[in-house]
Amino acid sequence: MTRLAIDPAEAAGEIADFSRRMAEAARSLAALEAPGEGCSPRDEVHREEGVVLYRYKPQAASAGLAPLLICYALVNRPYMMDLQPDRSLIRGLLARGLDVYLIDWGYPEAADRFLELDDYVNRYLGGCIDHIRRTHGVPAVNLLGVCQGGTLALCHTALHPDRVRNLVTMVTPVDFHTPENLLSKWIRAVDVERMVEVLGNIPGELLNATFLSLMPLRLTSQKYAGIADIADDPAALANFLRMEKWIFDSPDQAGAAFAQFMRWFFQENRLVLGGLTIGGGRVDLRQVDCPVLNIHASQDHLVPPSATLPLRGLIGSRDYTSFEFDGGHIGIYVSARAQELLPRTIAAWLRER
Amino acid sequence: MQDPGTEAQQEFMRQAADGTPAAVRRIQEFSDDYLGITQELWKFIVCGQGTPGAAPQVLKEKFERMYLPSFGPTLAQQGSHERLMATTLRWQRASAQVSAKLQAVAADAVEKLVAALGGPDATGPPVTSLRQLHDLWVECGERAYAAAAHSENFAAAQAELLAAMVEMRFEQRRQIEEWARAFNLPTRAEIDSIHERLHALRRMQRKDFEP
Repeated sequence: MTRLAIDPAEAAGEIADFSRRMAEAARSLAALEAPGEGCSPRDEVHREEGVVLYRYKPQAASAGLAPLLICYALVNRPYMMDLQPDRSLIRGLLARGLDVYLIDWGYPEAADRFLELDDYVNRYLGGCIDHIRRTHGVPAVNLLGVCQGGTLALCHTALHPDRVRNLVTMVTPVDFHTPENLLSKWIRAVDVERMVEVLGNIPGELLNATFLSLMPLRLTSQKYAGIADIADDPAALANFLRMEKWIFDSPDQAGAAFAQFMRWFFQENRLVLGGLTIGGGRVDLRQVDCPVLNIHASQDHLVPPSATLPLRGLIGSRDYTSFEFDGGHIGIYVSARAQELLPRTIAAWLRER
Repeated sequence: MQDPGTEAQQEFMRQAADGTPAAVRRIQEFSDDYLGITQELWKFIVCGQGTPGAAPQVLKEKFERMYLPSFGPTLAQQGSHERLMATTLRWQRASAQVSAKLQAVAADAVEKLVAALGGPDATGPPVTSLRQLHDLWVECGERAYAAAAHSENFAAAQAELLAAMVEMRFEQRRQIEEWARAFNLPTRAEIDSIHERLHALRRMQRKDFEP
């Protein structure tokens, strides 16, 4: 008994309707303005080479908490945190009286190919934290690391525990060798040093192609067929365009830092197995003794829960909270549900500490 | 399909070799190899004939038969061309391997789709629209792909493709840089060297100023 029950006449009508809706969507997309990068007012307060630290303008009375620094991943642009007024984790945090800073890693150039993880973890991130400490006269900041930025934040906290008051990690990979981690399986067989020796900085396009090939049909054919469903919804089309801009706005990766990250984390899983040294300092997660809030997404295909949850058993802190968001790696930033839930959860957790 | 020029050259060589001593026949064999490469390239590049991977294999065999160690005043250039050819062939082989794996995934996806639509384990509501059929195809395709993509040999094939591409790129760049040096133009290798020294200097400088 077959489930296939497509009426030919209806199928022909469906094709015609699909074509009409796609044409309508194309017309609407053409009329939209090019999406910007972030929507909340902010000031540049510190710069070191291509790395910029922004401070967001307050939008509510201060909650009286230590400033919060957001450390985003190197592989995409950080405006995902502030995509549009109704899709902005940063706005949600500002609305709760937090003083929010954000690191923009910029776009590495050819001259940056010899930047190492030491530069990112100690010099750039450390420089931003020092700037905030000086500005506010505080010994330590609240640090929010997102995705790969969470891994960098964990390393910094382990190396300099006195500078971090509370640590929040969002969809942060910790154990890179879990069975669901397809990216890790692929990378383990790659000679990353040779790749960097020849290619220099790793092109963002290469990373994009890799990410798409994790779920090639869903992320190409099915996603774009879905445009027909939102053809008559200008707001949804604008969201779609913003997301497309963000997804494919992938900076090249500084060669040396990329090779170190791939080798030490993806291939050798040193954060879990030990032996990680950055800038001459040994990264031992047992040195992370501040309160930790670890947020993960239950359907995350890039950083599966199994990759992030082992953090609990690796850190020295006894004050550990795990929070599960019911969604995927992207939905945790931009879904309607996340807009209220995540800022509320983070702000409440920080207030208690 | 054979290009007319190649055909004429082959015919000429056949006639020249008729009733001639072994030395000439040897020259003919060498020419056949050379012309064979032209033919295979013609088929592979222009006509798109043959199964994936077959043409590179034939090319490889013919190149191996023709192989002579580099010598003479252009020894370095000969070596450079040989390496580029070898890396190109490696890349073609690796591409063919990955393509074969993706073809197997596509075949598995079709089997899964057929089973989902009418197999003994088929469950779910009737598929009444092309869109539903498309979504089911995507679901089956992703399941087939995931099953293959998590395997060690898929990762190895992908890694080999990447490594082959990297080595081919390295040889291409080396040739371009040789050319650039002949015109006294700066090269990526020279600029990288400057960046590396600059980076080391700045690191030393920062260390000197550390409290």
